[in-house]
Amino acid sequence: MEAARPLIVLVSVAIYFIACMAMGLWAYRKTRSTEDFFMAGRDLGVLVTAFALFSSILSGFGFVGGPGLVYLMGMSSMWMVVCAGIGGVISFALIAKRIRLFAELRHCISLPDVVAARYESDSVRASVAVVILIGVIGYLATQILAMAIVLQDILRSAGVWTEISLGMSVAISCSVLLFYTVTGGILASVYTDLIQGGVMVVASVLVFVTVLTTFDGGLTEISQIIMADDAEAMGPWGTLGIMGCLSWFFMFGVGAVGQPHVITKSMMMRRIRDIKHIVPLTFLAYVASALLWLGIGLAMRALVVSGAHPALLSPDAAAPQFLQNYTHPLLAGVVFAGLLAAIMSTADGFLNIGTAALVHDIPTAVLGRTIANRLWWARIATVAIAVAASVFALYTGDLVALLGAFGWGTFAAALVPVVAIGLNWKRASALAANTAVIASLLINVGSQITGLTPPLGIDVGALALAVSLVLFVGISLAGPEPRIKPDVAIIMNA
Amino acid sequence: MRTPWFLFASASVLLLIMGASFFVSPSDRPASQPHAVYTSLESTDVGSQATIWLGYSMGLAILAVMAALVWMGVAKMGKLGALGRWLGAGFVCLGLIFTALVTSYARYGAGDQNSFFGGLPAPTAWMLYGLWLFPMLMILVCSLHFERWYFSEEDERSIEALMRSKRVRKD
Repeated sequence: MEAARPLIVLVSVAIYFIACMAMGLWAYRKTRSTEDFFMAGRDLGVLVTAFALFSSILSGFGFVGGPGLVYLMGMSSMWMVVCAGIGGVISFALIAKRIRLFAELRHCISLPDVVAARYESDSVRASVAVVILIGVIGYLATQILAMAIVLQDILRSAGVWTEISLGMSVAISCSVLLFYTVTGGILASVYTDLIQGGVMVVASVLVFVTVLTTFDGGLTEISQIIMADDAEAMGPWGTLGIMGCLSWFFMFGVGAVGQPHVITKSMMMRRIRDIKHIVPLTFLAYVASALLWLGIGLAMRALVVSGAHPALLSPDAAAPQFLQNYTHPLLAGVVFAGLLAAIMSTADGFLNIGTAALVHDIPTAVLGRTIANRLWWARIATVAIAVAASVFALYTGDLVALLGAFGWGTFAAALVPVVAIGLNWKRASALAANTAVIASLLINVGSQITGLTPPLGIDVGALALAVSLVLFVGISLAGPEPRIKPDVAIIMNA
Repeated sequence: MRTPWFLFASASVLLLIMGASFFVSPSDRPASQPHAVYTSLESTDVGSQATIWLGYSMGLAILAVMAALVWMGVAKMGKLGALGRWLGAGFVCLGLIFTALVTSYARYGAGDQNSFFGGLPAPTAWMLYGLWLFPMLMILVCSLHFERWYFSEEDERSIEALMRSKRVRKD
């Protein structure tokens, strides 16, 4: 069976691709309006919403970059994971109910729709739509690149297509992604998220069990081996240090309620009272999946420093090396399918919100009305955005990394105040909202361009988030209380 | 309503603490460096002991910002209500867990590295089993008392009435 490992991986991925395309065809027959295309008819059940939420948060980074960071820095990157619980509480309190109520009240089909309803301002709608579109292109480009690299590696390892170029790999993987997102819109995305999320949870738990059995003494032995080499790596701050770790804790914990591809999913649930099941389920699924992040990273560091495994060429090789050398071939197949699933589930969410920004939000803000034949244009725009992001991924080199890095921190700093606080606080003003968005863009883009970063490993996104929070709340408190329409006030009082 | 002021104050303090990091002496900064043997690994010789109290203040400020955000979400008509008080108590517990983590790390840095819990050294165990999993209890409180404290039948009725009136006006 060991000899057939590459073929098993390839077959697992092929089955997964076919399942995604079948889901697209099924969803195509159910998608009749733009509300279906962007909001799944606001009729998603508990399980689908929970898995759509969690699989949108956990991108390919969680399956490759995360274990790589634990291998590289020890426990530092676990602060991106540890914050998930508190992030769940914040999401429960600030976003889940309110955003769903706004979506129902004003028939919103996108996040900029929601903020326009809240602030009665097309300038806020436009600024949020532009931030989303810029972030989407960058984020999507990194996901497409990761998807293509993984597929290229799988096809080469299986000996099926050893000379495949990166461009061809982008074309194949994007075709599958586009097939189900163009035909079935968000409905196909969220139901494939259900499959993708299920694969991720099962694969992660099984991999963690494998990690524990790799060493006779289990997790304790792994810890002791790492500590004998460098005690700080196994301490809570790893090699990054306390301030850097806490800045991640802040940016990822609070920033989760500012990620448009994630919070938009909360607008699609069938009933408000489903929140009480959705949030705990999302958290549990995330915890289970994060076990892979933790387990593989620690195991590979312990294996390398104990001399049981040769040193890796790069930290990102930690997950592939562990899967190829220490797991059962069938499990490796499931995890590689899970890896593609993680990447695609994030990518389809971005495609959806980017399309909404392009065909709905920006025309509405600029022209003051929606365009005709939106469903048709939405399908065209989905293809256009994917093609633009692919070209971007293939031909702009470092700019992709720049815009990819720009993603989470910018969304967090721009949208946490404007969306998460603004939907709950009547005093929040449109001026404060636009200021927060501009400050976020200036700090994050400025840092990327100049290379200036705060000391002690503090993430610039965390600094931007703190600045935009202070500006947003400060400007709102200093200004007069804006007038709120009575129906919006009822929603905000609920 | 005092919560926005609390949010403003705690976020400002957090920003000041981040600003203070610019004044930390370079010799006190935890510096990761390539591992002596394996180039794909990082190690550190300074660690976070010199900046531990600045970090502790930052952690508490972050928890205060998070608590303020949660209170803004659960408050109704300017009042925190029972859910706000329960979640506030949860954040106090998180503050205590974080304090235990930091003091445990101070001992860890001083050489006490034999305390393990659940396969992890003590401070790391506080982080993973405490800070990561404790909020599940807070989520459960929200879920179990959903109709009573978060979205009551009265809320549901007022929303339904609002939607009905909008439909009637549209017709």
